[in-house]
Amino acid sequence: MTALSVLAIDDSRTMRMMVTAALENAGFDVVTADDGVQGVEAFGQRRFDAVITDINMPNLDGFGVIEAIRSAPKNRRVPVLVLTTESSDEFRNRARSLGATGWLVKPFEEAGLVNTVRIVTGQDVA
Amino acid sequence: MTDSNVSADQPSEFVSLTAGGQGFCVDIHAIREIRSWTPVTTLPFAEPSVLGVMNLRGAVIPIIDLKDRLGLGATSEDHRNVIVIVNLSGRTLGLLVEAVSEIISVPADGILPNPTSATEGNPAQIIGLISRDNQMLRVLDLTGLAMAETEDAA
Amino acid sequence: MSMDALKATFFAECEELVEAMTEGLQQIGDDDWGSETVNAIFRAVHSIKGSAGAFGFETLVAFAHRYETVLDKIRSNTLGIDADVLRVITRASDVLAELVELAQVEPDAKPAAYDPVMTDLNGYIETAAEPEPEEDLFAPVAFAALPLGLDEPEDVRIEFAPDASFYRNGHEPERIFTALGPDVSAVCDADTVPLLSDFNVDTGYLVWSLEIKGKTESEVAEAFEYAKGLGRIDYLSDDAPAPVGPVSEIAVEVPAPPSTQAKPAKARPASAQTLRIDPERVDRLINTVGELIINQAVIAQKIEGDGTPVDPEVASALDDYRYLAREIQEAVMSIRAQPVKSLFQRMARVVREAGEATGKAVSFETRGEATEIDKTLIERLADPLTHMLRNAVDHGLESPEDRAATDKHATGTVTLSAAHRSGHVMIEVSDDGAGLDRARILKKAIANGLVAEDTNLSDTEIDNLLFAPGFSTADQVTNLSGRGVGMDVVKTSITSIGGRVTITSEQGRGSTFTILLPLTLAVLDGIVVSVADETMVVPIATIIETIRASSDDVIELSPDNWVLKVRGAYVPIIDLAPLLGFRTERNAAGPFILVEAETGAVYAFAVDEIWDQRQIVIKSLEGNYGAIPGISAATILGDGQIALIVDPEALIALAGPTAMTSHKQKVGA
Repeated sequence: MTALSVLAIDDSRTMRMMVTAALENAGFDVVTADDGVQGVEAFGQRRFDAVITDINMPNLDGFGVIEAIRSAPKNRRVPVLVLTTESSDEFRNRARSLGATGWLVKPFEEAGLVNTVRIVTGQDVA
Repeated sequence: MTDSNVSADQPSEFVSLTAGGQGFCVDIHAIREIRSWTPVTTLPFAEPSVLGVMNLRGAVIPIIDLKDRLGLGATSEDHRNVIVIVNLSGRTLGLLVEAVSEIISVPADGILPNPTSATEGNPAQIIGLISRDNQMLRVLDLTGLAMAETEDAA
Repeated sequence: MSMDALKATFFAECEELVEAMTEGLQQIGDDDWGSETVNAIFRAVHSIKGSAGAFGFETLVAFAHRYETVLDKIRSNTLGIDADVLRVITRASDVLAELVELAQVEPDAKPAAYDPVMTDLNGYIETAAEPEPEEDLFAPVAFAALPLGLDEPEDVRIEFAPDASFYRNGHEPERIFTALGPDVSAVCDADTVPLLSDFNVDTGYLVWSLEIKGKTESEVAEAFEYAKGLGRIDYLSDDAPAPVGPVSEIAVEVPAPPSTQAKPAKARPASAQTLRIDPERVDRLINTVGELIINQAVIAQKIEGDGTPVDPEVASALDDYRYLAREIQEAVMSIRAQPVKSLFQRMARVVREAGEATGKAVSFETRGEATEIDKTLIERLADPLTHMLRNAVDHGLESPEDRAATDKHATGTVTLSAAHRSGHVMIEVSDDGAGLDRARILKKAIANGLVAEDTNLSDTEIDNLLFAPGFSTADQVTNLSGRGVGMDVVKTSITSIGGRVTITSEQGRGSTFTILLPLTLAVLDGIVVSVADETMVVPIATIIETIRASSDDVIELSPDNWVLKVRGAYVPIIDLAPLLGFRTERNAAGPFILVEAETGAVYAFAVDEIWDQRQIVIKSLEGNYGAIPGISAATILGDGQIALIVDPEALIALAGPTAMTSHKQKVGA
């Protein structure tokens, strides 16, 4: 089975590294992008099995990323997870209404992140 | 600074070399490498025995004409001249000599004290004599050399 | 990926974020900002908070959160920026930066300003009378341990009717069911699915009945967390009828959990954006690249040197080689050099704190922030500079009353500057205070037995007593400087990195401490020239222009005094070859390089040829040789030969006072 690929968008280098480390250890292929614009660009280049995006980013925020991805019908089924420090209901509702598949709150636990990505990508959960 | 070389129980190893037609030797541990002559960059206000500086793999090292430094006049240009790169208490210097011949092993009691030893102002650089093949090799104290060089530069 | 490596990345990133934050604040202070400025500060603080949580730096997270909340209010225009707000967020940035530094050694420690600034921040949060989000917001909500309690595992039955939005958000029903574990039976009622002609893609038609064994309701709820609001989820009580006999059934295979955990892929290092490198490796790389460049030059010489035509393909490959070798060299050279900006920004904090601790109004000015120096030097300058700046505020500047008594502005000024000075980096700390009280210094030195009572000392000698071990000028131990660290320690730490410190001071006008660092590795722009048979480099920093003059413009005033006529002004000529002892004959023809001395006077250096301008790596001569008058350092040229870098100031001093001086203003076009 070829590895599932995940696009991780975060303006924090540390976060990108952590997400990458966690997911690569779990057998995913990870591509990272430094902000929303780069993220959307990267998403347009190839097929991803899931996207994890930060919300607060320069150039284009995470909500914008979700909108941009969901605006194309072919992307309707790609799971998009939000990874952010914010966890208010208002925030979740907004993310959900734009088409976010789920959300994760920073700081995240490695196992939790991996598990969630496995669930939304339909991979077997350990 | 001289005792460590001279009075050790084990035989000491020296490299013999020629400067001004005379035989000298230096402690093998001080020698880093031997290179053929390459043109140097002249330093302003240097004393005559300091030929200049050369590039040794990215490091700038001064080259000293050993013969001149010992008061024997300047070494004449010759493509067979070689440069002995020595390490002295954290500093690297190159010594221009006419030839480097061999490595010699000398027992501790094979080194004779220098009869004309250190008098004021005169080369304190000779710290002993080694008799070999009917030739007297003078043991050079490189630390003394380097110190003299530092005074010049400062 | 080790935790240490992640932490290293985190702290490296924090450094940049603190810098971005500081920059933003500066813009606000300078009144040159827009909403994106506040946003950028917010993002920096937010990023620090986000990552800090992952390492359990709770103090840092808590503080960043408060600060971020206030910034958010500014961002959303519920809080305007006035002088007070600016002061508080500036201090908050200082505290945050300090917390980041502390986190590297003592994660739970709080800087002294922590509590007061926290109180200030809370003031803004409370005055706006908004409910403060709980701290536990930062607990990993999605993966929080399940609440213990009455929620015993049992069989849970639910009916789940996802809307179209459920599918649109990238969900698949099976995935959720799978996540619930092995003991799930799912039955789908597809009865409501209309004929294709009536099918509406925006409607979810399928209704699922699920029976989950051995799970609690909250566990099930958690699995459906993301689906909340994206459909109907009904929890069926035990006495409700089990789903039976739907008209049409679509059985869903719920795959059994795999017998072994999904095999972790071979751990690959994550794509790191910053690297920590042992400086020795960089040194080795720099030297090896130097060799490569030389090797390239040698090959080029061997191929092109004999004058016979070169095969165009070989020539082109040779060009590529030359280009690539240069590229590598440039890249390698840039590894260790860093602008002093971040160091200066940290120092701004030191000055602010010193001002607050001593109750003095201080304006801090910096110059030459872009000056690049070796990163290791930057790190080792932090402590001595901190001390010198504290001293400048504490001892250098007068008390506000004393300043008022003179006609000085109530706000004292402390200036920190950096510049390249011909192969050295010069860093100056100056204040516009009262200047050194030499009588007191001498009295104290005598009292301490540092000098004999009847000694006759020059002003400079007295000034230098400050560097004597254990000397401290404060008659009383103050908050700031009474830490048992004297200027002698400053001097020692500067000396240990190969530098020198000097003092100049003027009564009533202030003092300047000058650090001169001879660099073992720094980059310098210089013009390569020939002087007699030697190739030398003149640092560009002091050069005004290069001139090829006609012989009419060179005028002999006396045998030792020649001047060059430049646009009507007369500039003294300093002939480098005789000055440096390379040749006795004069070079009256030039070309000339016009340089400006620190005094503002202009001189014309006569050289034999001006080649090109390039960036060079400075190699110290002092390690293996010693100082040479008029020469600051050396560099290695592409052909492997060493070229000496001249020190224009020292050359001017060497040339002596024969030459009349002229001013730049007269020469300038």
